[in-house]
Amino acid sequence: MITEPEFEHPRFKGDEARERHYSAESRFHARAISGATRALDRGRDRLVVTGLVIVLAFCAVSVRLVGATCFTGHDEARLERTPDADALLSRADILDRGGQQLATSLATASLYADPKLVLDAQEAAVKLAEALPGLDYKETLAKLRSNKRFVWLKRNLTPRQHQAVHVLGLPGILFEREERRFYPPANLTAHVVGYAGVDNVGLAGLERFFDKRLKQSALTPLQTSLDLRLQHILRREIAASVEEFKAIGGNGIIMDVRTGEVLAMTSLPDFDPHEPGEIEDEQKFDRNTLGVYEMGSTFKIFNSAMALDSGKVKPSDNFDAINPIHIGRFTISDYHGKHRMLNVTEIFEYSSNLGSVHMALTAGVPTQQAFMNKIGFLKGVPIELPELGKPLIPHPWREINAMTIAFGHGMSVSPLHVAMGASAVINGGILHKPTLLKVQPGQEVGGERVISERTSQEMRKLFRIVVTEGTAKFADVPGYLVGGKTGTADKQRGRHYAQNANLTSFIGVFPINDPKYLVMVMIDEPKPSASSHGFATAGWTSAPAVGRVIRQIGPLLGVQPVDENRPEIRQALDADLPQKGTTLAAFSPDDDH
Amino acid sequence: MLRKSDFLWLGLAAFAGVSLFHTSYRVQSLKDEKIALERQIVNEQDGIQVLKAEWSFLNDPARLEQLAASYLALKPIVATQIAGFEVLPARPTTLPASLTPPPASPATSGRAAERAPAVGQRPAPIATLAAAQAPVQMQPLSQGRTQPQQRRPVRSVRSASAAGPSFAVAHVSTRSVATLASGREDIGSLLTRLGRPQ
Repeated sequence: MITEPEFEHPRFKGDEARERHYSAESRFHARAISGATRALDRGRDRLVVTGLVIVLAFCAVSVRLVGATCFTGHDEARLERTPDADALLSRADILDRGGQQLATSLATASLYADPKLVLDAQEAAVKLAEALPGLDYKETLAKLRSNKRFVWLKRNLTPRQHQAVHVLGLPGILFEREERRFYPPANLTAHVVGYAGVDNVGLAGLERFFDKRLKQSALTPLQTSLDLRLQHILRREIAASVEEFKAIGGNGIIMDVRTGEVLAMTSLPDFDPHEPGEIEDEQKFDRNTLGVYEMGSTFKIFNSAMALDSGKVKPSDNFDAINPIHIGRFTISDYHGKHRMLNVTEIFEYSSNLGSVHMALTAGVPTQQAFMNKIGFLKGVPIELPELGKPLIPHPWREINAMTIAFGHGMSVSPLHVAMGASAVINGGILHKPTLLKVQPGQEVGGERVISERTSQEMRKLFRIVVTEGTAKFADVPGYLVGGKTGTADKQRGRHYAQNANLTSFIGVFPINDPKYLVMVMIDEPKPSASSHGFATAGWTSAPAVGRVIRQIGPLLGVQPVDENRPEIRQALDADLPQKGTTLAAFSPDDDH
Repeated sequence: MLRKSDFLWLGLAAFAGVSLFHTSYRVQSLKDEKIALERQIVNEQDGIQVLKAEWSFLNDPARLEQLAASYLALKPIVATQIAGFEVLPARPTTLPASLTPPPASPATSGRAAERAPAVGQRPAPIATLAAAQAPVQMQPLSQGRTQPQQRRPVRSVRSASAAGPSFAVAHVSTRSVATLASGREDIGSLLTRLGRPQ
């Protein structure tokens, strides 16, 4: 310890001096002392206050420190970004008529990099390539070494991939919340629903047609008229027929003839909408709306309706089906030749080309053209899809064209045209625009009368006879009174018609006494199979498929089965049917067990 | 010297400072909370979207058809199985012989023997038969009502021995049921589907 040197205050040197000192300067001293004390006091006060403030500040800091380190461990610093409410859903769901999702949006994480923040591009690229199989190392390295501030590395990671990259903790490698379109039924509704690209832009089908609507009211789902169950049944049966007859494709439509709603529409081959980049043109092609075909005998529906509705042809009129017609370099003849005079019913039943030509000529060429225009066969079909094929129509419309159109050649329309037209012919004569949007119960459906109710009634009888007696016996389903028309068209190869390449179609309507639903199936280039006894016509290929579809969808659609042998049904269809027992479940009071 | 008013002002200033800090911190923490909640909402909604998508995915008609074919002994309904009221025969005034109760045998108790003559050998009218069946129909209902009371003690036993084997069994069964119900493989394939490269 350091000892302080002796210090003597002048005041304590001697008593006299002390006295003198005191007495002489006491007044001055007193004043000086009181001034100094005051200054000292003030200084001390200030010090105390400052000290207190500093102590308080330190206390606050230490309290905050303790609190921050000990008690809020979970509350880590986070990226302060308020999630955008609009970003929740930027695209509305698409639903079927029962509310099942056909398309929806799911949130995913997409990986991007800010190359300026990346410390070691090579290390980052190696680690990323390890964590994300399928990510190209060289490409990633080049991206990470670029001078940009933003590069996408991989879009739409799975949760597992997201976690794997997150764990790497690489600086400058960041995630962005994105949406990915997901189609639960996948291939099943691919052509109708279409698909959207990676930036949520609709590229095909309903996704494209309703692109604006889906984005603008993203929270209101778009309800379509499709029924997923019917869609599945239709696709399964068409696929089975395509397989059985080794066809190159097939398509089908189920339509509500009372409203024009499309309940199911499928085209094979189809595609996976999740991978739009890998779709081949053949898969992408929608045969129902984009494809236009010479439909063959199914056109006789319109020929007969036109002829009967013109008033110039009566059902009992007979036409020549004996002599082949030679015109130019063509010869028109019959496939199921009867070589006799046939009435209108028989012409439809046996699908006679010759009879149809004579009917068309009796009605007249302008009448035919006007009728085709009235049922909308001369322009694209009005439906909510972007992929629409324009009909190929003859110009000018001469007699030879009228003759071939009578049996469905020389004019190409899409299958949806045919379904729309056949619905109008059979539903009492009202043409409804086909729609893919659900018609709510009680909603008014616009329509335009194209044929009289009486003609429509006649056509129902013709439809029924084709199934009971004619070319489409395999389409019959007990209880559902199917009526329809087959069509087997030779496909054109270059300038000629190929003999062994057919396009077979069948249009079935049930129940024909009070038509509700139309089922159309078309098979492209079926080859004869063992079960069809060497035939590859519509009656052996498309008609059985329609029969199988109706058998399954009838109960689903709640169609009440009717006994075809009940007197009022027989009267309505005016058909000379052989008398049989009941075709339905029956309880006999005599049963005693 | 510090005057009293100085202390007052100092105190007020300190109070203002502290309350300002406090408010500012509270605002900050509320903001954090709001962000966290919004984040949670987004996550929940994303989760709901995923579940909805999964529901649709699992409701795929092809899948349901396959499941129905392998687990149900049912076939799709056909038209001949559907009948309307008009094909039902008129309600018989007398019951067919096969539905009449067997004649009371001499071995039955006295009460049954007493009732037998009232019914007689003729078939019972439908109203009588319905009245006779009424108490029988009531039985399952009343059983149903008593069932929860019977079950309650069982549940309390299980919760008492929560660590015991009964809990383990219950645990395993719920897990397996959950696995069955959610169909893990399908979720897996859903995710793989989602993760496919564009």
